[in-house]
Amino acid sequence: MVNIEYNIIKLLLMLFLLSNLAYSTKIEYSENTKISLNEFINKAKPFDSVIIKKSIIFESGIIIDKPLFLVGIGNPIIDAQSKGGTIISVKADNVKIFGITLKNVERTAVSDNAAIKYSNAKFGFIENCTVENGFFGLYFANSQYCTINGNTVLGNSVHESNSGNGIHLWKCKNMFVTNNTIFRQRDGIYFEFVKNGTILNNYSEQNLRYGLHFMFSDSCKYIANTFKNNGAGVAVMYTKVVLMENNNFLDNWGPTAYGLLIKDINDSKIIGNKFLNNTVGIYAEGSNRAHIERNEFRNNGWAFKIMANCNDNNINRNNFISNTFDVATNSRQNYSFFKGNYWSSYSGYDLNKDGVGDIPYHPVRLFSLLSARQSGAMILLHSFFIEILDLAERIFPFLTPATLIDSAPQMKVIT
Amino acid sequence: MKFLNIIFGILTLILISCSPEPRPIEYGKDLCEHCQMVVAENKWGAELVNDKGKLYFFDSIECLIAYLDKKDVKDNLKVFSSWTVNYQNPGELIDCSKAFYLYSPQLHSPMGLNVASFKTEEDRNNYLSFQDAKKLDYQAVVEKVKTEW
Repeated sequence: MVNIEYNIIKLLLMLFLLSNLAYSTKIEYSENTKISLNEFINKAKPFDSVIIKKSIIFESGIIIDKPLFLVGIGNPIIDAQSKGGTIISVKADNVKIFGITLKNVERTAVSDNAAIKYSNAKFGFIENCTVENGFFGLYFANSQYCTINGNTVLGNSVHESNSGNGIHLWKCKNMFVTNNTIFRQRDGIYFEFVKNGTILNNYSEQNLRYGLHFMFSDSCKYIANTFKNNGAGVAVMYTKVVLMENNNFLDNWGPTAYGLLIKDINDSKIIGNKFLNNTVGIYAEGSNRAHIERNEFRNNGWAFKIMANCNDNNINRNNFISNTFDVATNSRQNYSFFKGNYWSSYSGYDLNKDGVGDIPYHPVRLFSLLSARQSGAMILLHSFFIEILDLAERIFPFLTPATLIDSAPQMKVIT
Repeated sequence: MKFLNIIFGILTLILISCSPEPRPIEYGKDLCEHCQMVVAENKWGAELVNDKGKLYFFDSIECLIAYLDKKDVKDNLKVFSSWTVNYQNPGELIDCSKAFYLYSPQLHSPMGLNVASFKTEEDRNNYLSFQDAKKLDYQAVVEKVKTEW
């Protein structure tokens, strides 16, 4: 399904590009060209194709203020040598950039310099570009109908707090972010005030803060992405109607790390994702009417932490396998519904052999409640005394939320 | 003599524990108490110290104010001091009530209120050319958080 959707998008874009090609003339920027790339672009006419064949260009502060097709042949490098601000600033519609490597963006406290920055632009397109040691990588402000496809952004923000984001979208509409790879930025992909964005098949690893960070972005979807070993996982906050499907959230370890942090989001769907080896798989706070279905939670410290201010969430047909704690919460109140999940630590029986356990499962252990209030108590995990307390609590729920139960726990892993 | 030493030691301990001090925010590590985000932008941030010396970190002034406005926090938390980060000098903490605030949509604060804090009036004046810049005092920022954010 995803593939078909993506192919259609790609086809439409190709047609769109071809229609533009028909009107353009090609001009070459080669080793012999004496003027700077900025001047060269200045002299080009709207809808021209500028073909870059010079292997390395030491320049920054290039401004594109007309529709243009900028193509690198043989992977040319534009090296800013840490000066001159943003390398390429785009301030017009229909600017398409292909196959260029951009390096060493100047870092300043005052402005958000980027390798490529589109502002107030429509129909922008960046494909097969590489950013190395960018401050911000690819930056879009106030833009619409843009596509960012197949790029690589390699930062070096391991210890630096004044680092920028890999792909940064601010106040945009109808954007496609597909097939990109992002390493070691502050946030791998950052969406703020974006409407109707699609994030498909990206790979985001070792970012200082979040692999993906959503703020105030309604009606977006992210599908089939992988977020691995990021400082704090992925955060989706203050957002409505988000679809998260078939993503992988891997190896987000640390006292402040979550596979997925959802905070104040409404009417969202979290379907078919994998949460493997995270300190916390999903942390939900102030999240309402979310559908959490067919996900796999495996080898997490806490598979699912749900705070009492979450309402009407449906958690169905997920696999909870080998997690230290399956579900944790902070109060006796629960306003969400768990049904038909598989819990590897369920020890009930199925006498009528219908595949559904005959006694309900209490996924909240007493100890997870205790350790949430007193984190130091964690040292007692797996001790005999705690096991007895847990057992007693399961039989007579007194401190844990009595309504937080799975009334139809599955006997077999859901496939 | 030994006895005196012990008494002196205990007195010093009491004195130290009587004046709760803030510590610099560890960017990329500390979590915002209000929004749970990792505090990562060193031009922004805020900190609370309660009467027992416990520290609370925030990624922006709007999160601090919104946190103080929560009902259970209002009832339980006794604020000893509150601090905000100097936009002009990343990481430096300044007393919330003594800071000079500036609003501009050009500022892009982590949580979207776009109010920066400065140590001096002159520092703030450097940014008056920003789009729709507006000077604010602490009370005005509190009002802004309660009404707009």
